[in-house]
Amino acid sequence: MDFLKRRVPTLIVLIVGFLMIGTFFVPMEASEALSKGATKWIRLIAAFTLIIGISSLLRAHVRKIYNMSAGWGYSLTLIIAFLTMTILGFAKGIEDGTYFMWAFNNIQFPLAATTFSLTAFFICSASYRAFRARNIEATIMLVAAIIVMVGRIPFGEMLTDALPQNIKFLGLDNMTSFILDVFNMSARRAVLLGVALGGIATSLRIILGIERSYQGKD
Amino acid sequence: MALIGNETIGIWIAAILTLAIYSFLYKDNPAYKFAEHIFVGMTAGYTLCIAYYNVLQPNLINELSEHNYWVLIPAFLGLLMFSRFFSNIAWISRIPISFVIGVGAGISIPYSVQGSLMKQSSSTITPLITGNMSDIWHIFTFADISNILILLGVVSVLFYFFFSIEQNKGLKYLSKIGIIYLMIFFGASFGYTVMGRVSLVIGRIRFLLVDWLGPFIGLS
Amino acid sequence: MKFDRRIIYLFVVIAIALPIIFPLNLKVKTTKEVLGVYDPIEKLPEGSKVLLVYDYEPSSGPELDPMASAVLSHCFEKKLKVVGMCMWINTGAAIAEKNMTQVAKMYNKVNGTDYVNLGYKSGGYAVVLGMGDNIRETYPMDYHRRKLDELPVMKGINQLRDFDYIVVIHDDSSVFSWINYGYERYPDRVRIGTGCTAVMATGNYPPLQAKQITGIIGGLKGASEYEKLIDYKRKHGKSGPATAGMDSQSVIHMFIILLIVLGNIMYFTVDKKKRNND
Repeated sequence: MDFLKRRVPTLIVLIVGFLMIGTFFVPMEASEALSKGATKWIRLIAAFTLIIGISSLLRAHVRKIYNMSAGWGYSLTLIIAFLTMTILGFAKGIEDGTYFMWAFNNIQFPLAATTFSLTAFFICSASYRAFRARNIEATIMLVAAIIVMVGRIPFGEMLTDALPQNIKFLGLDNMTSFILDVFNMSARRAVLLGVALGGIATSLRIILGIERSYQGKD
Repeated sequence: MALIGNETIGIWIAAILTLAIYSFLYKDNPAYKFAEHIFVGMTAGYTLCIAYYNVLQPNLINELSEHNYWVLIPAFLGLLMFSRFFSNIAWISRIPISFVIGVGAGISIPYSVQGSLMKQSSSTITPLITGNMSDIWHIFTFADISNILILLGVVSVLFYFFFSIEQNKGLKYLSKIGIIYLMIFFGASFGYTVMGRVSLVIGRIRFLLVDWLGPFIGLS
Repeated sequence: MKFDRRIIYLFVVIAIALPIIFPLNLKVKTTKEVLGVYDPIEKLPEGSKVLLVYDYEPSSGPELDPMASAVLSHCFEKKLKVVGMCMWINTGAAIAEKNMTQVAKMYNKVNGTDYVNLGYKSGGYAVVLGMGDNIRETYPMDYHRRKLDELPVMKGINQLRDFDYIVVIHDDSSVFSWINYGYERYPDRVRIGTGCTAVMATGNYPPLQAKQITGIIGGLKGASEYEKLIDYKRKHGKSGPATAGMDSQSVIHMFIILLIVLGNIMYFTVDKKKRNND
């Protein structure tokens, strides 16, 4: 049983992983067909993962309603909202002009946009409470943030226009561009290189069966 | 049902739900929780409809109706994933997951090396002195200075994250330069994050003032 | 010095609302990053094919909808064929439907003839790879469940490299899938421009410098620059949504800087005395 539970999945990853790497380096019709076929299968399997995510969510909330746990009324709201959207979608389709799109435009879209916009208020509050120039590094960060925040608004551009031509490069929008093109870009690139190397190393560890956390616990 | 589809009703519903979410800023309350659960439920319903109409119907059901029975194999693998919900056979879901992980890991290695590693590295290693060598004041152009700073930045930041060796003496200064680059990067990221988040509030408040209250206060 | 954070929230709302009620009409300057997306589209001849990728959630809608509308308007004015799709975030399908229908109405464009929304396909990188091989196999039908062969707009579009320009509007890292699996496969043919939230904009500078993408429309500011480039105000009689938002953006940024400065003054004076006494 351990062979089926542990060894077979590891073997699948090993064989499929090396085959996929091979398709890149062997430009034959057979390897192209293999790569095409694998990606086709991935697109279909990924759709089922969406449904599994929905099932997990509904399971948790149905359990809450069944047990009448604290807040079960909200879970009932969730289930009703889910059923409403599903019925609207399957009854009349999902194109523009349907009840489904009306619900998306007037309920889901505003709710999503508003929920995410709450973070702006917390950032403003955190700016007052937590953003302190405690040391040199924090001061550098603070100054860079202020330059970018002023440089990227029309007000900052107006200040630059007011400068004489020979020192316009000291204007806030020009300094912002320099910060983004040089300092930000360099640091991001270094992080990107590190992430790419780490990703490649992790992928190799997964293919070789050293990393098996994707299999979960027994 | 006649209420659904009406634009004015839609704007009023959106405005009421927007205010319900914003009521959280005062304190957590039932109106906020109610709106939040509606959002999650509707998103789940939306996802199911999109998964059916955009993926399962064209790529599975229509293929089967055209006698392309090979799609049954990935469909079967997808169905095997549902075994996760039953603890005694949950291990079966490892098979489709292994396939997905294997393909993803295998495909990502060469493309990451090419797109992320090699291209980004080659773009860092650029000519550093392209000015007029005979004129001492114009040996370095502005682009050269930028390229030198970029090379220094990438190397020093990469070096800062190198924790396998002891960073002492001269190497310590390279690491400190990396920290300066990182601090400026974090500052720029913070500035842009503020810009991004604030834009969302601007959008919502514009909706409330212009689309919802606009006809009453002369703003539309 | 601590005080109730709800007072800060109230001032944030006031700082944003006042410029909406009393517009400042501040001028917006264009940057080379946004020109990097505008110029390639501007140079395309009539009938060229543009792929517009809507890889964002409704939560980023207030920031990205204006730039999607501006880019789409530009394409329609130039009489380009536009194909919309999404592959990273499934809500992009309905957002594309909403946005394309809305803008198409302004330019009397016909769905299926001048533009089409292909909808969503799951699989992320697998979709980009699939489109690189055969678009019809990846997307047998569009969002309205019509076969692609029946649509005049899809004539001559069989693979990713048949598009003359690709604009990826995203609020996460999906553009890297387009770069690694799209641009790197066909670097002489595929050209990508990106529109993204301000949060993601800083992360797109490495591929911009490496010329893997031609330009970045970053956040609401980027969208306002694009609206200026397409002369939105003159054509529609009023400022675009992004340009109108820049007044509030300017005021709130100055307010946040004031908060930071105030907080630091408090930290170094009033609170320092308290800390020393403790």
